[in-house]
Amino acid sequence: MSDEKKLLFQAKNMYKSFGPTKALVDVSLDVYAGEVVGLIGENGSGKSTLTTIIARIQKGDQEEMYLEGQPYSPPDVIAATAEGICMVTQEQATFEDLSVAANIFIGEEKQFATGPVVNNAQMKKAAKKALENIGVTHINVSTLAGKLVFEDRKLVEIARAVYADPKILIIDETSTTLGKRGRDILYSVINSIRDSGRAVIFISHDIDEIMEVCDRISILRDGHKVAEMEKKDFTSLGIKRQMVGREIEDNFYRNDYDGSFSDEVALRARNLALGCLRDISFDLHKGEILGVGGLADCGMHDLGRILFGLDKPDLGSVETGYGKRIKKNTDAIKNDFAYISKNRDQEALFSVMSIRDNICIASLNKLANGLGLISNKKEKDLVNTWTNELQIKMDNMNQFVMYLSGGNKQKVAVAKWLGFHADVFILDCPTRGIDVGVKAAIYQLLSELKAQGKAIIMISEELPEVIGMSDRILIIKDGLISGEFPRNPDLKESDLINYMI
Amino acid sequence: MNETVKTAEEKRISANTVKSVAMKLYPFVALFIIVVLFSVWSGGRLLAARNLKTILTEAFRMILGASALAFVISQGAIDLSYGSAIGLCAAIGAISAKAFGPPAVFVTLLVGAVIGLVNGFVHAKLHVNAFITTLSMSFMLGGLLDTILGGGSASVPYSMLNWDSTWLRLITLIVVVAIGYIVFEYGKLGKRCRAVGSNETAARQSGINIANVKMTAYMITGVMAGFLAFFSLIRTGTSTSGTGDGFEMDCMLSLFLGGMPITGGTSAKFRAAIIGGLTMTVLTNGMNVVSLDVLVQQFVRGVIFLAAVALTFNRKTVAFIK
Repeated sequence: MSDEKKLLFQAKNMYKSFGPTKALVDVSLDVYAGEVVGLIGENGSGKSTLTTIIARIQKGDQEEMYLEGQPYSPPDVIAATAEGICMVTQEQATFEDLSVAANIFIGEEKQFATGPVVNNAQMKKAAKKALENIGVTHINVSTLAGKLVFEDRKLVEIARAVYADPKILIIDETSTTLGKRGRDILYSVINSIRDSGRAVIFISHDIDEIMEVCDRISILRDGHKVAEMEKKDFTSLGIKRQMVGREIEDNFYRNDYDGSFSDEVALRARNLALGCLRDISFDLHKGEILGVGGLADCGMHDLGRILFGLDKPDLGSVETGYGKRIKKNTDAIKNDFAYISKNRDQEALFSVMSIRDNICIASLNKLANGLGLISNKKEKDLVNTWTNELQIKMDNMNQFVMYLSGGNKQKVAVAKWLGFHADVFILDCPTRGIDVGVKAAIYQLLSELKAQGKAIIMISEELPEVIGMSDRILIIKDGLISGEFPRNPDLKESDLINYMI
Repeated sequence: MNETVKTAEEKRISANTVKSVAMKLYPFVALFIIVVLFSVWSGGRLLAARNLKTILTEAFRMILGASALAFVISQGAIDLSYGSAIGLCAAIGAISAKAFGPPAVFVTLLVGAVIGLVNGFVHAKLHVNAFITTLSMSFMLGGLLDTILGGGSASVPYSMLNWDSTWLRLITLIVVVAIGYIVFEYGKLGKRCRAVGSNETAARQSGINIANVKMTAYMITGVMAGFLAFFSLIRTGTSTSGTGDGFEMDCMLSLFLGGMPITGGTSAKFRAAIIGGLTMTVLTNGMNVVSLDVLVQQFVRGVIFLAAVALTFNRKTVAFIK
C-alpha cells in the first residue's frame, strides 16, 4: 500500500545519547504524504528525542534525514520551519508577557513592519485569521498569553505552527493538556493537513486516541523501534504489549466495585468561591477516593490549590475533619495534607535539585532534631525507603530531577508525600503525561492508600480514570457541582459528559 | 556504528566531568592565583607578619559578612542595605556607648535586627522585589545616618578600644563560621533557603513558609550588621558616614568569588563565604600593599565581579541573570 504513496520524509539510523543513557539507537522513520504517523512508547522511550531532532530543537549524535528526497539538515528550529517542518512541543511554549498576536507571529514581525515600527492592528488582524483558520474564535488576540488557561495557550501554539504552513507538523503529547473542545480543534487541524497531502507526526500516551487519529504507528521502547503497525492491525492490547515488552492486564483500574469508605470526615469544603468557582461544598472521608471532573477550565484545578491553602477563596472555608481551618500552605502541612500540582515540572518538583532534596523537602520538620538540624543518615534512609518502594529509575539519589523521565519525575513527587506520611492527598491530574507502566503503579498505589484509610481527591481531565478509580465522583460545571455519582460498574463517560457541558 | 556513538558519548561525559570539577576547583584556584600574584608583586610584603594581622582583621569582617549574606543570596535574593545598616548601627551604637559602655553591643544588634525585620517584611509580605526593597532601605538608612551624625562623626569612650584584640576576633570568627556552616548545610533553614532559590513555587507547594524563610534571612544579615558595627567601633573608636560603605558589594563579590551562583538554589555552598571572603580580603589588601591607584582598584573589582557572576551561575536553568 505504501508503494503507491509519495515518500515525504525519511529519517535513517538515528542515534542520540544523554550521558550514559541511550535515548535513540538506530531508529528510522518514514513519513508518507497524506498520512498521520503515530509515535508511541513509555516515558523515556525516545519519542520526544526523535521528534525534537527532526524539528531541530536538538541535534542527533548521528543522523541522516531526507525531506522530499533532498538531504535535510537545517541548523536550527527557524531553518527547519522554513524548510517545512514544524513542531508543537509537550512543554508550554508561549511567552506569557506577550499578547496572543505577538506570540503567533514571534520572529515573523517583519511582515507587519514599516521601518522599525510594527503595525499592531495589522498583526492582530492576521492573528485573528490564523486562529480562525484552525476554528478558534473564543480567544482575544490582544490578551496576554499568560492570562489564558493552559488549553487556550496550547491552541495559540497550534495556530502558530499551522500558520507556518508546514509540510510536516509534529504534535508532541499535546492532547493531554486539552479539554474536549481543544481536542476537537486539534483533530480537525490534523485531518485538514492529511487531506491536503501533507503529513502529521503525532505523539500521545493515550492509546485509544492514537488508534483513532493515526494511519500508521511506530512503537518505541528504550530508544529502539520495536514495531510498526498499520491501522488495520491496531489493537489496544497489542500496542501496550509492544510498548511495555511484557504482558500486562488490559484493565489497570480498580476492579472492585465496593465504593464504601469511612464516615469520618478528613476534609470539609464549604461554599468555596474563587474566580469561576461559585459555590462548592463537599466532605472528603477517610478511605475515600473522590474523583473531581469537568472541563479543563471549569475551575477544578483552582479547587485543588484552594484546598491546600495556596489560593485564598473569596468566600467559604476549608477545614480538617476536626474543624481546623486551612488558610495557608503551612496549615495544610501541619494537618498532613499533600498536594501535587497538574503542572509537575514547574510546581510540584524542583527540577534543578537532587532527587534526595526533592523527597526530603516536605519532611524537614519531621526529620530535624531539637536544634533544627538534619542528619545525612536520616535523609538517606527516607530516600532509599521510598525510591525502592516506588522503584524509581535513577543513577543515584543526588541526580537532578530534570534528568528523569516524566513517569519517574511523578514518582519522585509522590515519594515526597509518602515519605511525609500524609493523610489527605490532593492530586491534580496525577497521571498526566506518564506512560501506562507508571500509570498502573500510581493506580495501584491509590488503592493501597485507600486501604490504609487515607483520604484522596483526584482531580482529572481523563474521565476513564475518574470512573475507574473513584468511590464517588463530583462533576463541576459553571462553578457549581453539577452532578455527584457513587461508584458504579455501569457508569459511562457519556453519563458524566452530560453534566460537564 | 555503535563505536561512533560511544565515542561521542564518552567525549560528552568527560567534557562534563572536567567542567564540573573545574567549577568546584575554581574558587580555590582563584584564591591561590591572587595570593601568589600579590606576594610576588609586593615583593613578599603581602605575607609579612604585620600585614598578616591586617589581613586577619579584614578577613574577619569579610568572612562574617559573607556568611550571613549567604542565607539571602542562596534564595536568589539580594541585600543592598547591608553596608548602610552597619553605618547606622555603628552611629547609634557609638552614641549609646557614651551612656552604657560596652553593653552598647545589644543596641547595635537590636537596631540591626529591626532593619532586617523591615527588609524582610516589605519583601516577603508586601511582595516588593528584593532589589528595590533593600536599595530603598539603603537610601533611607543613609539619610538617617547623616541626620544622626549631623555631618560629623561620633566617638566611643576611649576605654572601649581595649576590647579590641586579635584573639577575640579569631575565636569569634571560628565559632560563628562553624555555627553558620552547620545551620546552612544541615539545618532546616539552610535547606529551605536553597529550596526557595531553586523554585519558589515548588517550595510553597511543599508547605514551606516562604515569608518566614525570607524574613529570617534578612534578620540574619541585619543582626550581623549590628555585630560587625560593634567590632568596627571597638577597632576604630568612631562612627562616620563612611562606616560600612560599599560593604554589600564586597560581600557579594566574596560569595561569587567563592563559587556561589547569583541565582542561589541547590548549588549554593557555605564554603563560598569562607574561601571567597579570604580571596576578597587578599585582593583588597594586596591592591593596597602594591599601592594601586584607587580608581584602578574600582575597575578591577568591576571586572572580577562580572567574571565571577558569569562563571558561577547555571546557564542550563536561566536565560539571563536579572
